[in-house]
Formats: sequence, structure tokens, C-alpha cells
Amino acid sequence: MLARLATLLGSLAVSSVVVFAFMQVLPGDPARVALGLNASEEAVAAMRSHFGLDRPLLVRYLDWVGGLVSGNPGESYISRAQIGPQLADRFAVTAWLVLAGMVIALLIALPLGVLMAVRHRDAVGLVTSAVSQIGVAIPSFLAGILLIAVFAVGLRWLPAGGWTPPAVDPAAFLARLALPALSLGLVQGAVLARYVRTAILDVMSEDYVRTARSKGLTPLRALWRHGLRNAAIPVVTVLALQLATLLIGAVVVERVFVVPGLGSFLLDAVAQRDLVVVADIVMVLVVCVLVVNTLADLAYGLLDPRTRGVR
Amino acid sequence: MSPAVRTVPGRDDRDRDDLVLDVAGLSVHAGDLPLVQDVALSVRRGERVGLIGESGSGKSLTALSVLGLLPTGLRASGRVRVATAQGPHDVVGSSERAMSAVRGRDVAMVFQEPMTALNPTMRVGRQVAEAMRLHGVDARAAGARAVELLADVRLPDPAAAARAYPHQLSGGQRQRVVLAMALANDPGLLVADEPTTALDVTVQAGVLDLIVAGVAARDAGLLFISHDLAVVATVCDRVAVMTDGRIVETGDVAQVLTAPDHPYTRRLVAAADLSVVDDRGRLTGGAGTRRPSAPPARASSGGSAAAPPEHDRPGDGSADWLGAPIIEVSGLSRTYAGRRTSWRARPEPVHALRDVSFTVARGERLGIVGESGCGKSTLLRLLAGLDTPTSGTVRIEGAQVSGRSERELVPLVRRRLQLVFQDPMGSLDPRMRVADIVAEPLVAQGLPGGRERVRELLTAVGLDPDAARRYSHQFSGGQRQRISIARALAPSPSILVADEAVSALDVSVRAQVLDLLADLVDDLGLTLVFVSHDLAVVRHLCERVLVMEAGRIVEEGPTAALFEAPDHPYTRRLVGSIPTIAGALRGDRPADLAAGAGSDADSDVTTDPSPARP
Repeated sequence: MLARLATLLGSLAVSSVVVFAFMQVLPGDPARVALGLNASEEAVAAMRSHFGLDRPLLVRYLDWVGGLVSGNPGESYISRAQIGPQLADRFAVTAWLVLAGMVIALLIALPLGVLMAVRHRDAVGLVTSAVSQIGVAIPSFLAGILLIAVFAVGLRWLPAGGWTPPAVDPAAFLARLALPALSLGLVQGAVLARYVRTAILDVMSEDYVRTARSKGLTPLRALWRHGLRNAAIPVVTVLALQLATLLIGAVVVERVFVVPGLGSFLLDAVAQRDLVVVADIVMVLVVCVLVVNTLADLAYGLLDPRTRGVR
Repeated sequence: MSPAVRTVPGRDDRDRDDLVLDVAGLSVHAGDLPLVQDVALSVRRGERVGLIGESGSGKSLTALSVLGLLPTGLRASGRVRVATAQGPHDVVGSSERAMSAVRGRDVAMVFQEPMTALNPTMRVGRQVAEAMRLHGVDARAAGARAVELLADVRLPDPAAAARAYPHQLSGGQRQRVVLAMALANDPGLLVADEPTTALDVTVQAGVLDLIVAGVAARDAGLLFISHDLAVVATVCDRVAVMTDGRIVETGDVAQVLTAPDHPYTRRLVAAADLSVVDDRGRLTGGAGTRRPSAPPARASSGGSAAAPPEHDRPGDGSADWLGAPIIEVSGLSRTYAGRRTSWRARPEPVHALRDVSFTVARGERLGIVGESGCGKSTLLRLLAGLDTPTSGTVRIEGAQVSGRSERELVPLVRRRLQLVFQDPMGSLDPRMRVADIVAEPLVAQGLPGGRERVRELLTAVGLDPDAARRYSHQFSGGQRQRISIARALAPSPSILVADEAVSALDVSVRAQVLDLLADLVDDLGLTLVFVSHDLAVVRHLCERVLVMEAGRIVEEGPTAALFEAPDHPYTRRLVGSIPTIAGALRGDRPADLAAGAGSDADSDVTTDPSPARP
């Protein structure tokens, strides 16, 4: 537990150095970019000292990390606006999207995966398996475009894009969340369902499930009481890895649905060479992935007593 | 042991002769392929019936048919009738729901592999209690009764054991838990499928004792499936012999084992008894297993012979040739860093080997016996230079092995000492042709010899040279072990180390492979180090034996003398706990073996279930 936490802090430190180094290596002096091509040398120098770019590297690194940790990452090189509040807003949007996508993925994957495993010998299993294969093959932005074509343009049930925060209008929030979350969740759900199927199939042939049946459990109850928890162990690993995929998927899907999340924020910042903002966003994504992986590791301990140490 | 048997109303009033299992005309098919044909069996209350057969004989499928637990795709037909409180119940054709009510209540089962038979994520006590809750006992009573049952199977501190997860228990302890679970509802019939095959002999003695005592206390019937004739003879009153999906002989244990009627039974009994050999010391009398008469070893001089070309060999393999021992082990210790149990406490070191010293003379056949965790595998790894000792030395033909680089080890060890492993399924690469498997040591060591050498080696181990073109999965277990031996012989080693090389084989095949090993050792003048938990095999094959316990050699001496008059208490326990057909016919019961094992059945308590291995 403590070792795991130490690993997390270590990975965070290393990745922050990498991200910061990238910011330094990328060509283009932020001050010059901010002021435009015709700025005078004096103005550039003044801007550099305003941003603190004239200070030693280590100081700037510590300053940057300190700003992120304290929740006050300073101002943008380009818009001169405070990054903090904007980052928080954008993060909330993406978090809703990814969370909803994950829930949809789980809602699809768990029943579908179990169904595919239990009926793997007959037509039902074959058909669901084929459908999930198609799902695996479709990228999420394509799924998004198809969903827009059907539900927004064709049926006119849901808005094609935009965003309403949940506090403002919960109904509009859900309506606008639905399609982007679905396009993320459908694809991830199809992928996850394949893993759930494999895990359940493996567990069904385990000796302890046979033992459970010899005690008088029906096949489905044996699977429910003895199989699911064991099958969950490999699935949790995949789930944690999928979160990274979902975050990347969100970047693209936010573009498709014009959602003001971290993804569109990131793309805008890259386009404008707003390096501090890019670094901050990347760092937030890195923290998310690392924290989720740590949580997954801790979940093993809860699921599997063998990983908990001796007693 | 006094299990609190819940009295089932009316059970005592019934006729004591009633059948708890009645099987007639049972067949099991996979598609059109018959796997079990026309099996008839009956077990009465209080009766212990053995079902003997080798792998693939259909005995396990018969057992699973009794519980209606055949794998999907297999179909049973015929009559399987088990006794229940509501009267006889037909298993074949029964609905899943009706069968679920019967399983665990009227018929229960103990499986072969205790390591995987329990759910690793559920506490042991809950798993035992579940068996009762499924059949109507309320949670509190089931939980309390589970602890009692764990006490009945003599787990130390049953209350703590109930809270343990399976991985915290040893194999023997887990099998006791499975037994407690099976007996929880006082079933009328217990089916045990190779329940002790995966266990050490002293642990086996305790578990067998518990099975027999548990069944007797409940006046239940026992259907006991095993490949081991001695175990069946010790446990059972009656026995059925199965081969190729059919029962070929049924009768009293004494009658079937002393005067077998069917030719198959006769072969099986002969193969199982390693003390009966012909005048050449062979088990199988030569038919079908003797290699072609001209041993390739001395067919020619130079690189093509199986014997090391660089020095001549003594024809008789006399032990004192060259005087110096071929293997010298002195003061050998190996300590592994233990597993961390908490982040504060220092990990306890695991002493796998403690100050082991011995020598092996050239041409000698040395046996090493001991139970799981005694350090035999560690010792072998050190002999082969696959691991580095913590202290002490290993010398092979006078050359120091430990501390050498892999490059230096090739001429020193790999060319002189070769290994044959236990698992003929796992130790051959399934994607390589037999020719490549056998030739690999030659290629790896840059030795000459091509297709011709492979054909020669395959002939030497009694296989058709055309086997070279095939893949290992196309061979039976015995044939694969022959391939392993051919591979080991490829670089013309002077020492052959066999690690449980016949433990995974059926008795009839085991006899053939033992003969093959003995022939090769004689013909090629090899030195044999044979590691086994099976004392009978060691006794048959080896001249001298080392007994290991907890990383130490506790006793050594000539095989016959040592087994006849064991000196060390551990050797006495070991010898005393081995079931033998002769002993069983004299009236030895599992209780006697357990007493011989010196265990109040707790001998496996100290066994570390998962010794840390790097």
C-alpha cells in the first residue's frame, strides 16, 4: 500500500520532468510567439521577465510544479488569462464525458460479455460475438459521426453538439452528454466485452467452479457466486488501461461534438503554441491515468486475497 | 474423531443393504465416439468400492457421470441411480434443478487437484458453510458447523482455518477442506477421484485415513477412483478395473489383486509391483519395449556414439573406476530471500538447502527421495549449474561448477550432465519437431551430429526413427518421456539426472520407461541421479539412496538396507506411510498408514504451501 503510493509519487515526478523538458525542447520562444513577429527586442525581454522565462531552469520547473500542485498554474502566454479556472471547467466537462463513457461501456460489456461466454457454443453467442467484433473495429469518432447522422440529423431526438453544465440545466446536460458519451462507450464497451468474455470462459473451466457445482449450485449460480469475482481480476486491469484510451478518445470526440472539454482545450492550445497550457493539460491527463492505475492495483488487493500478502 | 452426524430421520431404520449407487449400462459419448461403454457398478451403504484404471480409461468420466457433471459436449446414457431421502434418483436425464438438489446433499465429490479445487477469493469456512446453506441450513448454524467439520478433518486451529483463504493452506490441508465440504451434509455416497494423487505420501496417509473414517462415521458408501493399486487396495473392500472405457473385472480386492482374472488386470498388477523382476532385473520381460539389439553406444567410435568419445568407458559400470567420484557435493547451502510479510518486518530467509554433502561414484545409480519442499529440486538446479549456491561447492568430474559463467558451464556441465524432467507434456516445445528437440542440445553446444544422430538416439529409446518428423503432441506421455530421454542423451553425457521422470506416467508405461532407463545406464555406462518421491521406484532402480528432509540429508545408505531398517525417524515415517499391495492384503488400513506416518494427520501442517522461488 505504502509502496504503491511511493511508486505513484515517483511516476508523477518523472513524468512532470518529461513534460517540462518537452516544453523546453519545443521550438519557439513563448514571449516572441505571444508578441508576434514585429515585437521589439526590449518588449520581448520585458515579456520574458514577466513570465519568469529569464530565471534558471530548475527554478522555473519548481515554480511550474508548485503552481500545478497548489491549483494556481499561472497565466497563459497567449491570452494572458488565468489557466486555473479554465482548466478546472474543461476538466469537469471531460470527466463527465469519460465517466459516462465508462459507465456505458460497463453496462454494455458486462452483460454482453457474460452472455457471449455462457452461450459461446450456440447462435446467440456467435451473433453477439460478431457484433462486438464490429464494435471493436469502429473508431469512436466514426461512431460519433454515425450517431449524429442517425439521432441528431435523421431522427432529431438529440442535439448534435454543444455543452450545458449540469448545474445550469440538468435535462439539457443529459441530452448533450448522451451522444458523445455513447460514441465513446459503445466502442470501449465492445472491446471490454471481448475481455469479459475471455475472463468468464476461463473461469467457467476452473476446478473451483466444478467444485461449486458438486456442492449443488446450478451452473449460473456457480458462475455468479464463484466465477464473477475471479473473472473481475483480469477485467480490472483492462479497465484501467482503457481509461487512457478513453481520455485520448475524448480529445477527438470533443472535436466532433464541439464539446468544450480538455481535448478541445488541448488542440486549441497546441494550435496557438500556448506551451504552458499544453504542458498543464498533459500533466492533468497523466495524473488521471496514473491515479486510476494505482486505484486498479489497490482493487486487486480487495478482489484477490493472494495479492494481499500472507495474512 | 467423532463427527457429530446429524441423524436423518428414517435413515437408521432402513435396510442396511440398500444401494446408494446403482449404475447399469452407462455409456458416455462425445458425438459418436464412445468414451465409456456399458459400465455397471454398485455401491452399498458403508461399502468402499475402488475404480482402478490408467489415464484415458474413462474412470473420471464415470465418476463425473455419477454426479451428472460431465463436461459440455459429452452425453451419458444408461442408468445411474443414486439414493436420496426421497428415494432413488435417476441422474441420467434428470433436470439441472433436480440434480442440483441431489449434489452435495446425497452425493458429494472430492476432486484430484486440491490446489485449484477451492475458490481462491473466498474464505475457507464460507465455502464449507455454503455447501450446507445450499441445502437449507441457516447461515449461523452452517458457519458454526463448518468450524466443527474443519476440526473433524483435523485442521489445527479450525476457527482460524475457517477464516483463512485457500492460498494460506498447504495442499494436504486444502484437500481436508474439500473433504469437510463434501461430508458437510452427510451424503449417502462420496465419490473421490484420485483424492491423494497430488499429495506427498505422509500427507496422503492422513487424508486417506480421514476419508475412510468420515465415510464410516456416516455409514456412507465410497466410490474411490485411483490409478494406484496399492492405495485402492488399502482403502477399498471391492474393486472394479477399467480400461478403454469398459470395466473388465470386478471383485473383492484380495481376489482381484492376488488372482486377477482378466489379462489386463494381470498386466496392471504385474507392472505395479516393482519388486517382481525377471533374472535380468527387468520389469516388463522385454516384450515390445526392448530396444533393437545393437546399442548405438558402441556401434562406432568417434562422434556418432552415444557414449562420450573422449574417454573409454568401463563395460560393467563398476563404481570405483577412476577412483575419484564423478559428483562431489560438499557443504552445499542455498538460502532464498523470503517473502516480505509486512513492510516493517525483515523477510524471513528460506533455507532450501542446509549444508548438504555427498559423493556419487562413476556408474552409480543414486536415488534422492523426499517430500515436496525438502530441497530436492534446489539440489538438482545446483548440480546442473542452473543456480548458484549460497555456500559450498559442486564438482562434476573434478571441475568446480558453481560460480561459472554460462559459457564455461557448457563444456563443464551441459555436455556431461543432462536432465530429464517430470512433466512430459510441459517440458517439450509444442512447436518444434521431435528431430529439432532431440538435436537442440547438439546445436546449442556446437556439437557435430545431424539427422543420423537423431535417428540413432530415437532408436536407442525405443521409438521409430520416423518419429523425428512429428510434433510432440502426437505422442503419448510415455513416448514423450522417451523423447526427453533421447534429448538428454544427445550430447553423450556421462551423468543423467532424472527429476521425477516417471511420476506422471501410468504404471504400465512407468515400468517400460524404468526398464529403458536401467538399460541405457548399463549400456552406456552412465551415472544416474534419480530424484523421486516414490520410494518403490527408487528402491527398484537405485543402489544407494539419500533421504532429504527440510533441506538436509537425514539418512543415506544402500537402498535395500535403508528401506528394510530405516534409522532416522523421518525415514521410518516415510517408509511407514507408503501403501503397498502386500501390506493391504495383510490387512493394513489407512489408519495404520497414518499411524506409520507418525502423524495425527497433521504432518503437512509445517509444509510451506508456496516456498519462495526466484
